[in-house]
Amino acid sequence: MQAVKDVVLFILDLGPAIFVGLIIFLLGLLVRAKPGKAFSAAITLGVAFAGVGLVIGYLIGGIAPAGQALVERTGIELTSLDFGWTAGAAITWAWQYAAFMFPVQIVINLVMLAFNWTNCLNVDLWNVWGKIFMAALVTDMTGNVWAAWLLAGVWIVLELKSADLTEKQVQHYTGIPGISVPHLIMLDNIILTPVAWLVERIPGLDKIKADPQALREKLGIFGENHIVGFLLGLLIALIGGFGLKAALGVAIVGATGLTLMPKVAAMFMEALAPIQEATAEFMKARFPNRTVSIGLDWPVLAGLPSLWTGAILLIPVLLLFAVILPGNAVLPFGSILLIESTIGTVILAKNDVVKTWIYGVVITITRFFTATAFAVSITKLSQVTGVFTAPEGFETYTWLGMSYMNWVMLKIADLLSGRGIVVGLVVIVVMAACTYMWWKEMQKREAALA
Amino acid sequence: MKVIFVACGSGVASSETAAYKLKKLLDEKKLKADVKAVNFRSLKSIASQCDILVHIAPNDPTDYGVPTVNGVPFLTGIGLDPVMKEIEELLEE
Repeated sequence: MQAVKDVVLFILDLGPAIFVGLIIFLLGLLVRAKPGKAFSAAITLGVAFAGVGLVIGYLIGGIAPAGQALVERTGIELTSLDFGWTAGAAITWAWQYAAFMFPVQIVINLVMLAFNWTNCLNVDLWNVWGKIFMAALVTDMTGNVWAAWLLAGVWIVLELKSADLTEKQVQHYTGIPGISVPHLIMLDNIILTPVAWLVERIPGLDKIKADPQALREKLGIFGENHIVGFLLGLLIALIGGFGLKAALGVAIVGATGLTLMPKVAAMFMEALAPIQEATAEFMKARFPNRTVSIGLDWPVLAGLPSLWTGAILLIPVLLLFAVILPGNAVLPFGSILLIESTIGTVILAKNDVVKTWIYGVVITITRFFTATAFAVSITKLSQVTGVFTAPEGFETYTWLGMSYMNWVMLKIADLLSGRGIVVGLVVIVVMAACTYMWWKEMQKREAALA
Repeated sequence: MKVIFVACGSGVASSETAAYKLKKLLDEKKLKADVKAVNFRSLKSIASQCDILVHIAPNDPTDYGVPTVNGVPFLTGIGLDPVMKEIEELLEE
């Protein structure tokens, strides 16, 4: 037994690039990839980890002095740097139990399909990371690993039900038959349904005519990573009192960081693609005679111009919120184009750009508080997993795009651990009420499109 | 060699998955092409660098000025034959 433990500890101690690579290699062989291909996938994953660490180190090294200067000069306490979802995903895959989330999601999905509890066959295995992210953080903050896995299960069920409840709407807005989107971002609409109920009753709102595609063509340049990274770096440095030369230097670091980050993160998926494909084929083969909806990742919605225009119009709101929201510690950077706040809301808003933006503003408030609440734990996790090193210039790192559902799960995990009983119960009651409203509203909309 | 861009929202997850599937199918048919996963947001500036665009969001109203093929079948596995035929024909042109 001791020998086994020693071997496991030795492998974990090799760092995520090696031990997760080893898992990918073994999974590759399991799905019958050729050893050469499996080896290539494993090394690609190692490169992805090293690459993300490199880019984050570079980005923080360049932005931190400007961020510090901004804090000192303005007195606004923004001590946590938002590094965007890519770094969140990198930390996640490095969590030692990450690989177990795949079978959990697949088994829950197959069981629910077999009992006709869902119509969605989720072949999007990339977004398993969202559940791992929550489970890793909740485990760290509550010490209750069982609660974390139980809640991950609840989360998976909610995603599948959300896919069922938006299936026709998604097909209607995208024009793609036979699909659905079981993405966690769609769960934003649970707490936004009461907000939508109010907004629908504002007189005159429907009279505002905005053409999201025309706006997108005009503002589209602000949606490009290098442009927005440059401008944001420049802005932070200039507010921090840097001279033009130094500020331009910071701006280029911002542009480079935001441009390279998704490029290195794409290598995670490149490594996972063979496993993703084999698993999806396996799952589809279980239900040959049944029409299911194929659950896909959110980019099938990316053709809706309101989604992009809404996110671009949220940029000034983000900067304002960073300054005025009480208790906020997050300096928005990696998530400056916060499409996390418009992907789900565009469906709730029925593809109307004004409403997408309004719901986006409301849900963005929850993101600032959630990202602040989890910053310490995210920073700790990034160091434990060795994805990148201790913060310099900032106290913590965080991901501004993270869902309020992480906070909800944290509070329920606390309750399950016998702490924060009152808060936990209030959270459950509020969520139950919102879920009921959301469920009825979505059923109504689905029926209207049937 | 002709260049094929596979575009999704972030250029990370869906486009890589679809690109992998497309590469595999092209290999099986012994067809050669340079397949790249790209970010949807930069499409407007970079679309001219490719010969064929495989788009994960086929309802996008923007005109990118290159032949565009629906990329969703590479994710769902449904309706793959017609889109592959389309791509083959575009490659032969």
